[in-house]
Amino acid sequence: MRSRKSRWLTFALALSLTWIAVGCDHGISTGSTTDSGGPAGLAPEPSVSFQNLDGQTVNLAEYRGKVVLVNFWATWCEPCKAEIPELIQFQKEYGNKGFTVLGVAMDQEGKSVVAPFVAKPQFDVDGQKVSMDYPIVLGTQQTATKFGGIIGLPTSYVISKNGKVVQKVIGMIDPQGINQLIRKLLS
Amino acid sequence: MKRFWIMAGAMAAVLALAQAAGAQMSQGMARTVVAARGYVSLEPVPRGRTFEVAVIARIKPLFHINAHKVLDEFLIPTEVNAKTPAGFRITSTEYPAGELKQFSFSPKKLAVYTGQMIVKMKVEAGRNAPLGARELPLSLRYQACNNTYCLSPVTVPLSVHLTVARAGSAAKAVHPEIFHR
Repeated sequence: MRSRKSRWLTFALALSLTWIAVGCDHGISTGSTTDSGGPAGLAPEPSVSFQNLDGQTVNLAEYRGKVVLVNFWATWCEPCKAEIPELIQFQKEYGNKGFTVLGVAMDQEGKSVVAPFVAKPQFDVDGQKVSMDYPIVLGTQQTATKFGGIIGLPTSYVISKNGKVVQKVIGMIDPQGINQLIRKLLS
Repeated sequence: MKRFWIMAGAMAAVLALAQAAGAQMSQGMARTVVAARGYVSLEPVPRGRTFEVAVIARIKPLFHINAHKVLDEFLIPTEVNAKTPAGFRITSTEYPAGELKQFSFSPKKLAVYTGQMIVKMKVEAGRNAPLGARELPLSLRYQACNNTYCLSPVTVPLSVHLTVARAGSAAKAVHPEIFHR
């Protein structure tokens, strides 16, 4: 007859192995593992497509071969807007080196609200007012689901050249940390 | 050993379902940040009388919602709306002034509500308002943030129940703690 202690040990071991297997990734991610492209790997990017502001379909897989920072945001989200200048800087510095920001706008009103916001030169970058100059697509609840669910905005995912999600950040990004990560992934 | 693998398989299924449900958490979570309730100032409400409806919203600690008068055109203002049934008319809606607060993520102050806020509406029961028990459907729209992230805008339905009596009937003022401040 099995003892109560051995039953609890079995339960605890089963729970631990299951948690690892399912790969729960909720919560703020800091200091996440950087993808070295090795066999251990990280979560693959989701298979997802979006509509851009011109009404064209954009597949995330089209960016394979580039480092991508997928940034979920909305025009009504103040912390989202606060980090946009940093994202514009990243695009400016690394855009011709195999990197891109992909802004996923979660406004329920869609293009009618997002397009004029994106086009307006309102962000202070290097002493000038500029507009959002990186690719913007429209997000839906379905696209959020494909990323494992979005708790709040902003939420960002850094994806390596070979399509692995190497970091997830809920809330504003740490510009220095993300800058280092981008450099490492591009090198 | 067999029991171990059966247990692990069952737990994996439960956790996978939980992760799928998590996709809906953003809106669900937004709804839990504010607890709202409606109150009526008179019982019963005689036909032809004006009474008040109050919506009290209690906002979870560490969260805030935008004030009704926002300081940026893209912010989602807090709003109370009513679907007035036949025989009723909203004559005014009064929102509290927002509190100007500075947050770490914004260089400018925002007008917000924290803690508890009360919206009051004046409602007229017409001379032909249907008698008896009535429901006045309301909705509260808001968008909440904490210091780290923002949740989806949500519209939460609520309602108040009242009794309409004949014109000239005696009516008792109720909830003086809300309506006679």
